[in-house]
Amino acid sequence: MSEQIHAVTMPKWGIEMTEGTVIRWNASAGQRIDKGEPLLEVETEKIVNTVDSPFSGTLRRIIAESGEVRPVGALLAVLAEDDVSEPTLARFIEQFKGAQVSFEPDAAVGTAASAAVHDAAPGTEAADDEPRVSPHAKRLAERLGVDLARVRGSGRNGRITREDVEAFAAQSSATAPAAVGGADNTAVRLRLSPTRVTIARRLLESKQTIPHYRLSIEVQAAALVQRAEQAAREAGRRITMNDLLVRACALALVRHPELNAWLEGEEIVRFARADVAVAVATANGLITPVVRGAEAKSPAEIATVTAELFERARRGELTREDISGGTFTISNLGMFGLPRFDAIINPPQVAILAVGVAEDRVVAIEGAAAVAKMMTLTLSADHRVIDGAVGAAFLGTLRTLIEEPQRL
Amino acid sequence: MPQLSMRDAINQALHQEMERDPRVIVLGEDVSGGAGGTSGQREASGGIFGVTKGLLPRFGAGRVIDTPISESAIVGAAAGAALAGLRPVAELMFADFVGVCMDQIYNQVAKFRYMFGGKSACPVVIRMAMGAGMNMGAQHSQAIYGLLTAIPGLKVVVPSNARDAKGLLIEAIRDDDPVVFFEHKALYPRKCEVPEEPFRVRFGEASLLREGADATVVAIGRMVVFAEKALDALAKEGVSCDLIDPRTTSPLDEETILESLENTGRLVVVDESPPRCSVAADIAALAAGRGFGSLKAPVVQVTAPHTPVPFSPALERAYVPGPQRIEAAIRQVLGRNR
Amino acid sequence: MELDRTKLLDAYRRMKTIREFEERLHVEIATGEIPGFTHLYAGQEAVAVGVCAELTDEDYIVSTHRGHGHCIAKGCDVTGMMKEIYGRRDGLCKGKGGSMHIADFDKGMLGANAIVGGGPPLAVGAAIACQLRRPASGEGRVSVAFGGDGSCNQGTVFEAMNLAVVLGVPTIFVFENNGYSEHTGADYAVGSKDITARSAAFGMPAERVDGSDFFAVHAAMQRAVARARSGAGPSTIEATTTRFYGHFEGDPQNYRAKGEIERQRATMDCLARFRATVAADGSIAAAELDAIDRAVLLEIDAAVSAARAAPMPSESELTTDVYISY
Repeated sequence: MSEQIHAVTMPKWGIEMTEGTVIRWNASAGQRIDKGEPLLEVETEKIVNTVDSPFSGTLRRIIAESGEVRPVGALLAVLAEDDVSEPTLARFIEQFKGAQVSFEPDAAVGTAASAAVHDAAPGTEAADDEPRVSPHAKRLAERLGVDLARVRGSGRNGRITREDVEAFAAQSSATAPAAVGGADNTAVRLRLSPTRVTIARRLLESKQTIPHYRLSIEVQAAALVQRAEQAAREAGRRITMNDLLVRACALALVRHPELNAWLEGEEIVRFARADVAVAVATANGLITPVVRGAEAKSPAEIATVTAELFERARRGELTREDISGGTFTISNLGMFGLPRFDAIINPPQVAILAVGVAEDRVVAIEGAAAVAKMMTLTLSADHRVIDGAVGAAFLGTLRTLIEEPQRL
Repeated sequence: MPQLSMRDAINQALHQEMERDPRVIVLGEDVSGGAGGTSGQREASGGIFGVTKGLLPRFGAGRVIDTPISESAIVGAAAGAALAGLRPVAELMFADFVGVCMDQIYNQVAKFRYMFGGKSACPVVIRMAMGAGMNMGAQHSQAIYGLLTAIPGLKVVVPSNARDAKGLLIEAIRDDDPVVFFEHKALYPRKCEVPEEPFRVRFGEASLLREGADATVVAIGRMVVFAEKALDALAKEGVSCDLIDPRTTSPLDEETILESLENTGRLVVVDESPPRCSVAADIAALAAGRGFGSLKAPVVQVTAPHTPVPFSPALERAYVPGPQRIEAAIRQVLGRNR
Repeated sequence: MELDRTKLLDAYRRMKTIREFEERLHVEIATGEIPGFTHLYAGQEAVAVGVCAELTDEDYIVSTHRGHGHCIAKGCDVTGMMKEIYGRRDGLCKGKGGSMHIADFDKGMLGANAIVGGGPPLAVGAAIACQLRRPASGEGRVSVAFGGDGSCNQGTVFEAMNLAVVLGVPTIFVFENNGYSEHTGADYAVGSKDITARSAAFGMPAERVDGSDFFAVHAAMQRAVARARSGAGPSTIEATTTRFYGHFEGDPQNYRAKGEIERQRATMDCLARFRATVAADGSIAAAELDAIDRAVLLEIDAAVSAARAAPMPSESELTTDVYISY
């Protein structure tokens, strides 16, 4: 009869107590105990206190010996009358479920871990003479090898921000190359510039996460060359084929807005204006200044904008504004004589056009072999949002614009 | 390095600062306890949570002052003593008792310097135990740091571990402005390595406890512990996040949050307070403003509900934002909801 | 006015109920099954019952963090209280309040309060309502502000006492001086060491009574309540008493001398003193009181069993009851 069996459990003394240590038993098994008699001593984080026996009976079993730590509610001993059989006692002990105390919010009611005492991750703290620096700025400085003592902070109380580190690194340009000794070869070890770090990160992300596909098309370029010369004469300034290609792409983009877009999370952002980014190689690496509203600009206006952007890019004076917000990118390596190549999409954009050199190629025209000025355009597109037919249609429009360039 | 509980780390900071600077005094209800008792034992208590233990025997009743239950007088007297050149550390026992002495805190202490044209300094520290999770009911469980963060003139500290608690309290005592110092009751027994010697943790400088590319998780006080658990669980799926503990909600380290957001584009804020006008809402507003260009997904706030703290453990467990809710929030911000 | 036998028996039953309720909680809390932060009233029963014996359900009381005794004295359901303390769904406050926030508006019990000094201003407000609704002739309703010696040092209490005097409202301030504000002695924390004189200085009658003597408390309450009901304004009763347990359950009570509680249990036990008084004047036989003792034990047993068996609140109840409409 379980009414004749009484559980002595780890008491809960005070709000914070979740466990206690048995210090000493004042009685031994088999001894008769009266209600209120001091039965054992328990130690908590704060005190040592005596547990008076809550019941009268024989101390039949001691479950938790001196020195043992038990959570609040755990069985410490069993009191019962002498006529309670051993098997009954054993069953009681086996089936005993004490109260469980937990302050963890996710613990299911009635089940809980014991005390919430384990290691917390230590915070970082700065000695008084250490420079004030944000954690991300500190990481970047370590990566770029920037000496923080030399960086001026623009944050609160002169704290160094990541932008400060980037600016410092850009300013001190190519950080002094350090020689590395090989046994029979000499090498230098160069830190990536901040620009290069950014390029690397974005290209890797693009290549790894965007399902690229490529579409190539050969177009006749003779008319475009003539149109460029004509426009230059009219404007009285240099206008390149590239400037006309920017305009051609802009017009094609307006007609195919699927490509004039960003993919953000699960949303496509389609733009009304074609802000065409033009990849340009500089000493610091690839930069893509943006020609805004290219569909509404004349070839001469585009030429003025690109000339100025390229010049500032070469001098390293481009602002963040100049290089952000492009809705589509053109990469032209024709000047290096490359017949064709493909490019990696610049996210969040969804497509990029790679332009090869305009060169004389043997082609079949009306059933006969002929020589014509040809150019290969390769579109890389993000298959998540642009299907092949859409990309092909865009290239078709572009071909028409290039081969019949009066509208440019 | 010795392992100390947050309780003992704060206690050590108080000892070291009182040792270093005779202007530091401690006052509050039962900070020693036993005054006027029949046992003749002074320091019968050492604070209801044992945080001020040992101060009375070491520094005497002149500098370790037991007060009647009079919160307005405790804060007001501490402020007055600060104006007169002392560096008092007042203890309010439970943060909820701020309600009794709000005038002294926000009309008096917070405004002196500005009202008096920068002529005064009120270097008072007001310590208090806060937080839900221990079934102490609606008037002993609140996390009200957001309320005081909204008040210009106060600095507000919410440590998440023993080491920070020590460094931040030393900084608070040495700081010339009024500082409100929140100690989460459930963090008192948690241990970590704490340097023995005095050191300072500057205000307005968050700690970046973990680094990852997928999302930025900002958590305050005890929520840092739960955020770590959530991140442990998600790490098994290859998810890694920046975990930022602002440590002080005023000043707030906006740079660290924004710089992290630039990397991750996704933000989860975890705050034990109810959601309206909370620190979580404040940080979400920061992301929506200065961090807008970085955002790839809506900011997710994990907070207590807009209710008082319930007593019943069944309800309080649901009230406190725990690891599972934080984990779900991170999945949500990553678009990994099932 | 002498109490009749029925009222005397009722008073004894309530005191005994409070005692056994608290003694049983002391045991049950140690098992870890009861959540939170509990402050036991054992030892102070004569104050709550001596005061509330003069009140009806139409009168109001405000209580403290040590409120179980006030609740039982004012007629709150013992099982509902026990369920509340266990955090159960059908507790008196649906498990949302707990030990420190039990309220029962049907019984004029405006709530226990976990903020020291939080209650007395509320009692003054309730008394304003009583005064406005005072019948043209006859007696009005009253409010009682229970507080400990610790609360008398709060500004809110000073303000409430002054306002009650200014408005002449029917509030009775009852200070239960059990000698300790938490872990600090009242002799230290109350500067003048005299709560009665301090209260009188606000401009109202104040008297000190032996709080372990039910009859003394009751007589003082009769004087105060007669004044209040007649429209003569507020009064203060300071009842010197003791608590048989710590400030809260788990308090090691290092501030109390060894043997103090045993001595006080021997000399200041209001139940024993009640029995001695009625035995001396022969008004009630010991056997009648013994029968009450047995019935009370059964009632408390039943309340604990019911509370342990009662369901926990469901998570959906977390966000209800914040507003009436929102």
